[in-house]
Amino acid sequence: MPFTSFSSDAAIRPVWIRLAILIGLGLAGEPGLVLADTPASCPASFAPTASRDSKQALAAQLAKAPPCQLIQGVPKTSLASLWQMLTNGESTGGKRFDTPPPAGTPDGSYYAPQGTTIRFDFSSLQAQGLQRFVLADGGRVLMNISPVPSVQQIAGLRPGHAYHWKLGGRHSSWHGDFQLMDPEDAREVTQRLQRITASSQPESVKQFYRAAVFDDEGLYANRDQILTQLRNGQ
Amino acid sequence: MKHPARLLVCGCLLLSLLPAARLMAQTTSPSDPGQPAVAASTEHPGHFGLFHSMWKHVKKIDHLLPGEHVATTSAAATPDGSHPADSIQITHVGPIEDITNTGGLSEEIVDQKCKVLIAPVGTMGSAGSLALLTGKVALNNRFHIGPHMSIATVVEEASARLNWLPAPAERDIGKALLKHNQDMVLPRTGRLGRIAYAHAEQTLKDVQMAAGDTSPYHFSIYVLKESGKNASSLPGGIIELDSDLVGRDWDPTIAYFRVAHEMSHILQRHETESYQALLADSATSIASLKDIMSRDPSQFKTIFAYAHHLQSTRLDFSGGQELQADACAVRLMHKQYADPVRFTQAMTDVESSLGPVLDGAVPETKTDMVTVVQSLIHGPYERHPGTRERLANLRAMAVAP
Repeated sequence: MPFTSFSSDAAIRPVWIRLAILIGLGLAGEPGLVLADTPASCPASFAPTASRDSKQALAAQLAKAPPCQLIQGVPKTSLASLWQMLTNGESTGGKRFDTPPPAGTPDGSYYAPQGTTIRFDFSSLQAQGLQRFVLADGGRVLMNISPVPSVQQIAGLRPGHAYHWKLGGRHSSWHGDFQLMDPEDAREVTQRLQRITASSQPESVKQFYRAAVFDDEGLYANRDQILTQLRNGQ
Repeated sequence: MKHPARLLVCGCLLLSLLPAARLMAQTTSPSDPGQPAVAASTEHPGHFGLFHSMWKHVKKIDHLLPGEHVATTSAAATPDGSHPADSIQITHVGPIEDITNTGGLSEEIVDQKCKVLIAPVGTMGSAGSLALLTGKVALNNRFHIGPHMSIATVVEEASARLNWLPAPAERDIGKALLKHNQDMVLPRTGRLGRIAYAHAEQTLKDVQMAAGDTSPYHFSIYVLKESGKNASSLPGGIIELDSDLVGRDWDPTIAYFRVAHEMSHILQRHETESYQALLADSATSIASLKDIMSRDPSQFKTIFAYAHHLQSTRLDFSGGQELQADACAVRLMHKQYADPVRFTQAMTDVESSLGPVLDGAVPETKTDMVTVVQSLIHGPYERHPGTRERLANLRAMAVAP
């Protein structure tokens, strides 16, 4: 996946501006941090929420770091919309075809931080009386467990491979398909995440930036895992 | 008047009919009572009744949805940005129903065979239905045909079952909900956006072709930055799809069925009915709550009884709608896949895309404490029938669509 998502207008900048940014990068003293834009052109603002919760603390931390001081590769529009997602919560209203699984449950393209290990968090469904969890690889059942723990870590999965999972509760069921990113695509994501990890921002700000990277890469389950953690103050 | 609040909705409905009656005079009569009439004049767009006037005050949200894309429209937008379809929608007359059962608040047994793909819309039909019902109750009371009934109570309960929310209000509700989700909308400009919207619009076009051109709505489709292959619909013609449903691994059959299912919710006015029911039920629920609290507000059992009462009136409402939308989607699938072999294969694919059938699962009961509380928290729109129930309904429809 090409590394082109610094910002939507970055591609048309002359080379000397990019050089200036790189010089700024060195002056900033923090690997990966660049002063991307003037405040006037920066759409990202992180107004503290009215409620006294973890989001308010995060807003204060993000406000300390200039909103336009972006981690390289994080589009500023993503930061703005991501903040709205964090504060607004999940999508609302409507008649949905399926009952959705908890936000952040592996579904679709998925980046495994440890390469081949993924994590299911069903703690929000415990009141549903979870009865059975099945993980399959095509027609082959890899895991069939009952009762279902709140959190299930699964190791030894194959990158680039598609998996299907099913979860049964007392009355309802959930299911999903996910595919672990193949190593080549995952390498670029890893590099972007490493730049965030290397910065000196508070951990919650780093998490927010990581969610922006996942959002940009179309890794929505990974993004939602982080947003859920941030909402819960973790 | 014993419960003034309980009559609020009925009063608003009746008030809304006065200007609609004037509009009726400007409307050419359809040759078929089930078909929409077309307004002879659209110079008075504000004459839609009280509810439309109310919604006009919040209509500014039209301008808060940057980048709205109408995938397929039946007519071009006017220079002021409004859509001609809106001015046609409100002239739908709708049939007059002979209401025979008004009990159970908004609880309703929906037609799970989807005999009519597009639910009739129109305040005039509702007015006629209510007038007919009022006459029947008055006759009953006058000639002692049956037990004495309160006309006000019967009419207010019946009003919860009729389609009286104007189409512009439906669209505004949909846009307001979409605005809440707008940060989730995938931009059309990116790599994934270009692919996903091309697939989404192709799917919508196919489903619309099968549904025919008599729909009172113009449909807009949005792709959400969500994993999974879910789809959802908002009142007034807005369909949202998860990006995985129409992304690189697009399965046209699965996407078709899900879009058809969501379009059916819109054409059957399912969520709109839920909003109408909430408005109507809230009036009666407030009265019920006062009644319960005046008896014994300190006891938990009393509050639970009230919660159970609310939940029991709404659970079947949502579950039945899902089955009906499935049935309508099967009808649309049958039009798309006319060849029996292809149709059977397509339905097999659809079935395998549903959630797992639960072995040993217990049927949902309305007295289950967890179920009651969760349904109240999540609202009346989220209850889905189990996969076993859905499969049975789908198979019955597939045998005789």
